[in-house]
Amino acid sequence: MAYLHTANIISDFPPSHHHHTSAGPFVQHQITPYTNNGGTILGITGEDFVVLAGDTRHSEGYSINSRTEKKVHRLGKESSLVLATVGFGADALDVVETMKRAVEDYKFHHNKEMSPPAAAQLLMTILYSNRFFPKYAYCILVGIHAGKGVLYSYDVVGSYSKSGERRAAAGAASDLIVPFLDNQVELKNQYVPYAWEEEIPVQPLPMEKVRRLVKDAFTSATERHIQVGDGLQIITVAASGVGWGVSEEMYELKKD
Amino acid sequence: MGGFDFSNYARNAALQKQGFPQPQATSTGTTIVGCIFDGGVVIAADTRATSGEIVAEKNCQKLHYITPNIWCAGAGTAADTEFVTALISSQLELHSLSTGRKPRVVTCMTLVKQHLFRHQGHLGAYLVVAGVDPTGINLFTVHAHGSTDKLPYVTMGSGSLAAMSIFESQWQKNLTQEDAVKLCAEAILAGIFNDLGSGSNVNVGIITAEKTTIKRNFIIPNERVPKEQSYRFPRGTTAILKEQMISRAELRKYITIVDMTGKGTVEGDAMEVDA
Amino acid sequence: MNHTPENWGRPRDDIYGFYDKSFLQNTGGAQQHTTRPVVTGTSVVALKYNGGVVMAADNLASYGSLARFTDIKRIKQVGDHTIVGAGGDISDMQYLFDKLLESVLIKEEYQNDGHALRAPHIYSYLARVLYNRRCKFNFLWNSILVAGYDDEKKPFLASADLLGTRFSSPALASGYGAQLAIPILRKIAPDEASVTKITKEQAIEAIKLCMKVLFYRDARSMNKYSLAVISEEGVDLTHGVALENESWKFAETVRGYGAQTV
Repeated sequence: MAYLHTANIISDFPPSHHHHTSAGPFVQHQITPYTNNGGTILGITGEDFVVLAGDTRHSEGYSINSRTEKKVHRLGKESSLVLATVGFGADALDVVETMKRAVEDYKFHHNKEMSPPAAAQLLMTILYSNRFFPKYAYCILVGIHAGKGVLYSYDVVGSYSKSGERRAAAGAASDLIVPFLDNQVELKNQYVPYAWEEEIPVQPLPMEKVRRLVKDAFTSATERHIQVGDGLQIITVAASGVGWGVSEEMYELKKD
Repeated sequence: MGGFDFSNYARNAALQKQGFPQPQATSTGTTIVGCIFDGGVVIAADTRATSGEIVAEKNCQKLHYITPNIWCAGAGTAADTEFVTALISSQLELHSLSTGRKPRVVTCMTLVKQHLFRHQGHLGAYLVVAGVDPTGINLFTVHAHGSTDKLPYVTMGSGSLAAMSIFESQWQKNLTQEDAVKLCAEAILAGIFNDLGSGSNVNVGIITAEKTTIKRNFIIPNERVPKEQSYRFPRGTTAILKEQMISRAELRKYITIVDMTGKGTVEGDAMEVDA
Repeated sequence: MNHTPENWGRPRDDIYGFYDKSFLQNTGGAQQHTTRPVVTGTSVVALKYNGGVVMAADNLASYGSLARFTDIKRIKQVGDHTIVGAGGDISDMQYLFDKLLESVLIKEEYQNDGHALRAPHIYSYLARVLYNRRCKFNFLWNSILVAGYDDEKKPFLASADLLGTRFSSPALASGYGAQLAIPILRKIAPDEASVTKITKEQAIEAIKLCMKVLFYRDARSMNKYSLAVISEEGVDLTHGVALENESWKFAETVRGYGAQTV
């Protein structure tokens, strides 16, 4: 069994930006250009829709900065693209702003909306262009492409799967949520009852079921992760005919 | 030879230098407080225990028994608060029996601080020591390095500043028992909602000359909403990779239970086995 | 031969012997950035109410544990519609206030187009400056609060720090205020909806209480502060407000710290 990890409350308190490293008789103050602002994001696709959600707690150390800071952003008023970022808040917002500008510029230049596959590749380029001073922002990008919900997820230097993914989670409680999604979305370790060898076939989930899974994932993460809580922002992008509709739901989470 | 041996510390430091990580213990995260009133003392604690960013326990008890009239609230390394309070509780009991007197809070505080000082801060126990004894009402804090404080209201743990902000803005002299309980609960709530290391419920302990009352889950401000759906799997969902049958008769090869009550040995057949 | 920039233009050691660099303050590299704050200010606290925002910051500038300057103004009025409060390094704060914000205001005035910069614009600008400097590894060692009352008659309050981290909330505080003042302020303003029920008088009272608690417990604070109220009527900024209603009653009964009883 793994040993539990602890933070010595008194000696680490209050949490500070700079860490003291002892070098001979001198104490050198060092500053890191990053911090962790906590929080979690989660996206699940259906047949003709995609849901992207994030909690609204913004924290640093053991303090809550804000209970209402949204992590899921629409990239344009007329666009189906929605981007969620988590990690270091300043970098995360910078990536969002860069993407928003790019989507707007694209519209001005080409008189049409940027497609999700194009936005996905652009996001990769933006993240990789900071390869040696990475933007500490974990991204999930979603949208409607050819009438279907698409989802892409990235590491901080831009690695992503071109073909998209069925679901993704990132941030503080992703370790808690990913196994839940493996089981409930990909139906891992579930077999057709008494037909021992036969796995339950994976099928696109209905929208209501997806929303239920998202809420349960976040209420559970709130129970067990100290950086998750306060509020939940759920954005649904659904294809309708040739276009799409975007809706937002806010849901209360525990505040302790 | 006399003295206290710290060679294990040197060994651990050497191991750590070689890249061998030190085992880390569960921390109680924690907001704990204490406040005296006219006639006694109140202590209170939240109920969250953390291991890093993960909540290890949602409803743990951080108010520790020392003697019927002395209780401790503990913050820091959970195992250290648990064992230090248990050790001192045992020593006080024996001391009380050998002297034939009621244990005193100063004695408890002195035993704790001397024990912690000997260990030079390596025992991560941060305690609020409270009690009523023949000398009167007492409230102390003891830090892991052995320093102590004696004040009418005290806080400890990662939520200590949040809790202290309540005391510093609302405390007044000559509190009634009811007001002291209210104030302590309010201080804990400040920790629960503003400090990520603290959470869940409020536990309260009230000690007077007559009796001690421990109120577990005095306030439950963080109940989880019901889940959106059931996650019960139909029977047979889990794959069976390997099957091995052991007959009841064969079981005797592994386990024999013998009844020694004097009614004679019971045959293995009478043993109850889960179907 | 040593090619590092600090040796450029210096006599070569192999020809002229070891060059005595002891007069140079910086011998570590070519250019040294601010690596730590020197003269510092402590917390800034602020709370929204139903017609604006109240903000306070004390007038102390500390030099380590020395209370160096006791009449420093850490809240600045920026135009007619914005106030900015800063904690952290005082020289960086004065650079932000007197160099950057002043020139931004002058440029804006020069346009004379009837448009004025408001709190969200000033905030975006300052947060971007802080973020750009952190990206150059050349931090402006501050945490700032920006407050205003916007065109839609809603109070505005937001925070930015040396890393460029941005967030907003009905009650904000930097430094020790985040630990000691926020629990008090969040009881009054737990969410945006509750702000509509808070009067100006209640907000001022709450902020004054926070300044008192901070003076009790923050060892780098003082009992004289700047208090600012921003509302539809504009900015009301007072420097040198004295702390009121201190109480040291708890000390009357304190005897020692351990077994001592007299």
